[in-house]
Amino acid sequence: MPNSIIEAEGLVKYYRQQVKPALDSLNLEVSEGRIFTLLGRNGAGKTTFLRIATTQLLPTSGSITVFGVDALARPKDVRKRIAITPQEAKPLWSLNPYDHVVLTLMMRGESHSVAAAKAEAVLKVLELDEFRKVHSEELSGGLRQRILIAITIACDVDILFLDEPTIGLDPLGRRRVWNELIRLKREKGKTIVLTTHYMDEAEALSDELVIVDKGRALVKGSPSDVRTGHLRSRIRVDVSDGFSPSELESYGKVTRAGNLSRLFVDESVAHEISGEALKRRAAISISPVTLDDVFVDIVGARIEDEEAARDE
Amino acid sequence: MLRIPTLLPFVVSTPFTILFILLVTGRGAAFMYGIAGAITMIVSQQGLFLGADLTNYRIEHKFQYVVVASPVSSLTYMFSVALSELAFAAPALAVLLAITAYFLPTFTVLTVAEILAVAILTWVTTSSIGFFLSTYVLNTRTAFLTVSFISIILSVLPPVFYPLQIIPASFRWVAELVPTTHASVLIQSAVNLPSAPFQVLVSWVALPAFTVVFLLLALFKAKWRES
Repeated sequence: MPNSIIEAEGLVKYYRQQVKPALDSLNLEVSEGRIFTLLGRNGAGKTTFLRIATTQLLPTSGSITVFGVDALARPKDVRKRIAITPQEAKPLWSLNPYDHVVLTLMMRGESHSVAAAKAEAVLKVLELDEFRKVHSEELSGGLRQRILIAITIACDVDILFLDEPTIGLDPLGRRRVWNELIRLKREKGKTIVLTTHYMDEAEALSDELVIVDKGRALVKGSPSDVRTGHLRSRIRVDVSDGFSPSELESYGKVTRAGNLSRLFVDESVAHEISGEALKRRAAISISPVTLDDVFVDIVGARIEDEEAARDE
Repeated sequence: MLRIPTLLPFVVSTPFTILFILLVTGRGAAFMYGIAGAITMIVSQQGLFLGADLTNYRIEHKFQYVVVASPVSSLTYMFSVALSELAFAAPALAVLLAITAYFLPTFTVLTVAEILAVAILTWVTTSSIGFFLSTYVLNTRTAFLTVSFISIILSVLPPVFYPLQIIPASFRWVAELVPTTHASVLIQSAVNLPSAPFQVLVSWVALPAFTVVFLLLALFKAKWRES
């Protein structure tokens, strides 16, 4: 079992003029050499956690250690071993990708020659080398985002924090970043902590993930554990037509997903529905349950509970 | 500055405009007060511009978050960016020193050393003010307005472009609360404008004291790790 590299206990964070906490007794452990993902809605507390872990923000209460060091009391001992790509950050418009990486590394104490070599390498890996001398103001949003990721990777630190790193990237760009993150973990033993809204990203990258809502950790585990552990049913059936609402409800709980009626069922019920659909020539699709389904089920249920409480 | 030299005219426009007005409307002495004022203003406004730029880097670019989560200290960050601001002031300072050398018969290396020492103290003072403010200002629009306002307080209203003696004696203490007053008094003295020796002595004590106070303010009271 890998060692815990980050341990947060009872983290509470109230922002000024906010009645509800951004973090509400959050407990988390991140294992060394793993990719750890925080999943959650906007305002769930993901960024607040990252900002506390990266020593940018103090919590209202609670404790957090990084590398076994108290990150609240001894931030300097943590800072030399971490780097972050903040959410919605922008490169400086008058600097090109090469300058961004070199200047950041020199600021962190690298010599110019080492910084230049690392910059060349990371720009190549993220396919930014052909834009290395182009001012960032002239680059597309996706390329700008890749500059920010390149800076963090080039720092060559023990923990990389990436706050929604692939927002704005095209599918190929996302996969390029994913491959690099996986390579850093496998070949260099880096620990990567990231937040994302993309369930496919969480599935593709994470060794461990946590679903966070309203500052609390709701579910933790590997993607497959979370997927199979939470929803007892393993099959998702999407029905377009051919069945009445009452017929569908007889198979189980029905939720709406756009124009589709969605059921989570076990294999025998899935067989039954598919047989009936064939007889009726009804349009249905059957697939395994995804992380997206688990997320919607967990977080959606909380929203429904809150709405019901408000109505009462 | 080498990356965006087109910004240079914007940086020097205000001090050189005031200098031009003094040249047109005043006589020789007024022009030399203008030189002293322009040197003080160029350096002090670059320190304040640092505040606006750092606010922009923090809020729009999130660059400060990257720096905080790194081994770089707040003062290293402040001085690194402040040096780049100072680079914009360098050409204007060189021009003003050249004009001074041309018009001042007693111009020596000591004059240059004295002016540069005052310029550096002023730059550290106003950069510290700029950095401190940048960590509290909530948006970039407010930052630019705040910097413009403080620039007037520091460079236009106090005796920067005119002698301190013009202010009635009972109100001089107000002007003496402003660091740039002392910077200008010292530069006026360096370029042989009439100055009371005691006042020069007071300013040589006051300006470094302001520098230390604002540097400590930046070091200990600027919001580096947010709460």
